[in-house]
Amino acid sequence: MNCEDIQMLLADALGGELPDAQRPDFDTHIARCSKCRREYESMCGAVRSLQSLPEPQPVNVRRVGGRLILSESSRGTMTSLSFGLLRYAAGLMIAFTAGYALRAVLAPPGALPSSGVVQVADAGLKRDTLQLAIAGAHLRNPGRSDLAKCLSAMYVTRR
Amino acid sequence: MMASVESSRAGGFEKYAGQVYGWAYRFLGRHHDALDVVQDVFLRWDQQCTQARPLQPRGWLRRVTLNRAIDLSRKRQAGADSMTTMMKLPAADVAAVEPMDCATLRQDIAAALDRLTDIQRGVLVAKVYDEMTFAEIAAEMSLANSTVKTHYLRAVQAVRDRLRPKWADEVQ
Repeated sequence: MNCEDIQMLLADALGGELPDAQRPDFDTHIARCSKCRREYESMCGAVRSLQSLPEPQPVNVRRVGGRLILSESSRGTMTSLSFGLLRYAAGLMIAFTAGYALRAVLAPPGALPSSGVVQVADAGLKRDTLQLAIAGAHLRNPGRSDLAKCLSAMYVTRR
Repeated sequence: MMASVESSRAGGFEKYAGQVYGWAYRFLGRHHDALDVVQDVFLRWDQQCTQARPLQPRGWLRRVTLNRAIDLSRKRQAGADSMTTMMKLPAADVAAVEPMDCATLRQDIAAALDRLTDIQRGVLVAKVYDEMTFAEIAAEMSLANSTVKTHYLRAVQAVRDRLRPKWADEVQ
């Protein structure tokens, strides 16, 4: 086995896939040839360095509905990933705008701002009343609401 | 219908989420940074699946994860360098989350991987950390066995050349 043969087998040797049949010749050449030995040992050192990076803690992955929950058992921290992330964000924004509109119309300034939506729901108000409330809020503060989106959301969800 | 489509996409990712986390963690060394990468890769996976699901999901995820993790590592290093300069602190005080040697080695390895091509990087990580055989890597990446070995050798050489000046004891 010469130096060229060693070069051909270097990847196998580094990757732990050197065939048993070729191992004795490989080792013999490496022992005799200082150039090949330096090359091989330095490459082994690089692989060892790569392997020395600490292994990550195992994470538990489970699915809850359409979401993925990753938890690291040792720290108890959780991260939830959802495919509907943007959809939820948009829904939240619309709900927030609608809540703002209802609050502006139904509650006098400073009175029960957080319970406005509950009161409306309990009272069983019709869609038209809510639409009027949103429209009223929009007219008061046109720059702070999106009338088209609110009405569209109301129409779809409450039809 | 929508829910089932979403579930199948999430299911596809779910199978590899632990590995995505592991790849990211190796080069970042921080739990929350790794989770940030998982989140980012997850969104990219979702986006990709709306067009076409990757034929080799693990290979695709490995490539995207490594790119993202190394990008984040580079940014973090740049931030640490500027803070060190600004506050005139030794680098060890800035990134004192783990022993300095390990943190520095991690950064140097990430910097070495940054100079590799996507394929070289993928082959190296698949071989060293995922412990795949050359044949398995070749099948996953649709490459010839000999090509995979060549990429592996070049990647290891690049890492060695990068580490040798600073880590002479480890890389002779």
